[in-house]
Amino acid sequence: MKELIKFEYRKIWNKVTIAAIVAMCIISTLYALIYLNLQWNTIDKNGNIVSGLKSYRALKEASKETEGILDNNYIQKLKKKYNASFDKKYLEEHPGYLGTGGMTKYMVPNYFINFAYYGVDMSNGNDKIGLDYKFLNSEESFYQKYRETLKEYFVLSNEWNGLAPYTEEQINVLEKKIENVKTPVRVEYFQGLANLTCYYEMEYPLIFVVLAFALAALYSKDSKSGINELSLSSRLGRKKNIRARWIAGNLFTVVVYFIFIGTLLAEHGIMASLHGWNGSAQTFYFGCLYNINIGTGILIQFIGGLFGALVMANFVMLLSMKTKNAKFTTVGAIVAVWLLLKGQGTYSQIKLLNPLQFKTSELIEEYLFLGKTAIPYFIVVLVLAIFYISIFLCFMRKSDKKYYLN
Amino acid sequence: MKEIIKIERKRILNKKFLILFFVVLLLFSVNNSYYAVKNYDVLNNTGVVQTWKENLTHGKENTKVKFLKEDYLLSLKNKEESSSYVDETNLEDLVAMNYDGKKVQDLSDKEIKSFYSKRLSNIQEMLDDSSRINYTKSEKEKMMEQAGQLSSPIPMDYAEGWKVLNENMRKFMPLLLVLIALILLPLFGSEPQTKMKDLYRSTRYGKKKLDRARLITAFMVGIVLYLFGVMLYTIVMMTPFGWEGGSQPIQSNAATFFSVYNITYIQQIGINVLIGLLAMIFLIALTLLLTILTEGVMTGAVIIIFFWILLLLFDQIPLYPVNHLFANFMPLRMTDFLHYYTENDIYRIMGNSFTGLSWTALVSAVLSILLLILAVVFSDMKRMKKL
Repeated sequence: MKELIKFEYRKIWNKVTIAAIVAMCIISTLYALIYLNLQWNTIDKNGNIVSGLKSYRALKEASKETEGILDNNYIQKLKKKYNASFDKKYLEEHPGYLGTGGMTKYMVPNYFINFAYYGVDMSNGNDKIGLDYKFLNSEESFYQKYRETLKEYFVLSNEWNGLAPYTEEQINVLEKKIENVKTPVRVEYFQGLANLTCYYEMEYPLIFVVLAFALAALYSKDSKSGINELSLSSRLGRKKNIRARWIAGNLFTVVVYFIFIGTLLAEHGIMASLHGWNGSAQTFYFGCLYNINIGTGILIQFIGGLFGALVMANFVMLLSMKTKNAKFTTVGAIVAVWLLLKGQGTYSQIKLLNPLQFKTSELIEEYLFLGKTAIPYFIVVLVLAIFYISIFLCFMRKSDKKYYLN
Repeated sequence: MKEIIKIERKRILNKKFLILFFVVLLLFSVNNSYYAVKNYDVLNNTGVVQTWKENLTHGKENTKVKFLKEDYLLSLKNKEESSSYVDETNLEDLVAMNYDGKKVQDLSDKEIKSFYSKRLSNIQEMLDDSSRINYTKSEKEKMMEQAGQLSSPIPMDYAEGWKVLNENMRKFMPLLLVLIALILLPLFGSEPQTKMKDLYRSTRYGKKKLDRARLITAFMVGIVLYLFGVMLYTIVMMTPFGWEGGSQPIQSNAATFFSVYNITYIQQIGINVLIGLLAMIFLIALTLLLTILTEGVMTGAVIIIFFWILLLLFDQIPLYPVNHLFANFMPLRMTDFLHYYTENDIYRIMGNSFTGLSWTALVSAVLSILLLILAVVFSDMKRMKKL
């Protein structure tokens, strides 16, 4: 069996697959390179505006000053420094700066503090970076305000987008979780990681398209060699070979997914560095209630994304099995990707069922309630992925018993 | 040659594919048309107050021989009930465009009198304050001269069909172009199972003549399918709205109110269709080159699909340098027609200024020719080397 899987796995790596993977890597790199170079500029530690790719290194250098534990001492120092800074003056004179790709070392701490004030209305921009708040008089009052806002953030988000309003008991559960968030938080420069997750989420559908091309011929009868229909129609073929192909297909998905992640890590690591893994997840994901660091949060996103890719891979394999035609499978799978993309365009929580959603920051920030139990979205993703794959597998098994020559 | 073209055409355009092509385009057009007419339903808290049919009928009846001038604006200003029918909302949209979102009721008599001079000063302001382009004095003068040539008052006759068609065509074009490109993939992309390549290459006409016939077939089929698709979409979109108003100036539409092009809706559609045709020719040339190089239908499809994904990604975060230097000449943005009439992009080449529209057309045509030459050269090279 092991040999058979190896053999089937190698067969997936044909000209079409390689073309799709190369195209995916080229698009990912080109897109990041062009946009990160053209769109961004930063105020460096000397108060100069640095543009293009070097702006990230300048920001990292400048951000050394703002890294640390956000405790009382930090807050008071930050207030003093920021109010006397060139950055503040510049932002006041250039109201569009942060909204159009501008960066400053104060973004990480100041945005986190402003979240405590704005909550659900928090967004990037010059108007939400100031520090003139009474609750900043002490560490206690700040984190108390932060916790109140977090509660309000969850309640309002659910009111607008949730499937059902929270009950009192559910709010109590959330309150306990909010209480358990460890403070003070750790602030680190994380712009490279922010780019990484942003481009990861944006380019994630590319994986689905690669799978649509690469796995379409797995069970088709129009393969290059023409031998597939013969081998798959034989008695052992229907039993062993079909299973070997399924394992090879999933194995291939994992490998392609790692290539995708590897490309992103290389691109953004080189451009803006992957510094900041150790910062508190709360500074990166405002709605995060876990006591984890940013690195763990991103890792959870990557694992969720892998589950989404596996769901898509199994869907393509099922289509291939049903249509037995590589071209129809590809077209069907691409139409499915398009429909999934369309399905993402809603604020409702119903979109959490969409496999394209399995990679988002909602993995770290969302809970679905079953009575009094708050189930983290990443657990839901795991269950959903197993459910989808089992269903697809069930249909595939029905078909493989009838896989005969025409 | 004629016979080969005929056979090649039949090979790629069999009945099954033609029906599928027609059904996909029809479904898309009907879906677009449905949502376009539903936009004309007048709603309030209780639901639909006027159906789109009533709304459009009211528009047709109440816009005959109406002009955008003082008396028309005053009649709307003095109206007691709020406007809900399309003829009134159109006028309100134009007022809002010209006066920074103001309602017609809030306009002073002076503002009403100076409606057209305000339009010109708005255009002047846009040119002066543009953050992307530093227009020279002569460029500004030329554009202002064009803008000033708009014959006023603007007739406000009913022209909803043309407006909707112009606005929605950008959604339809990418689908049409991708479908045509995919249909053409098997022309040079061989099917490995049939093993026919060795056979036809050894025949008398299976060499240069066959390659040339395939190139001609690609463009012939592409153009016919393109024109068919555009006609189908136009008919489906226009039927519920009616064909009236094609000779209205495009400035009677709020979206193109500040345009410096003094053209009618029919002329606008004509330009759009021509630009779309150039985009399609570019895509056909690219498809041919790719399939000649890769020789596989699926490999060609991979590159075409990822090429479109790249364009879609560029479209997600529009950046001026990317659009100006690259995306403007690519099929996706070429067929996003509105920007030609509203953005006033210019290209300065050897001391001359070209409008975005003319330069895009020129560059796209040159790129298509270059791609076609490359396709011919590579197909000859491959054939000679017996690859």
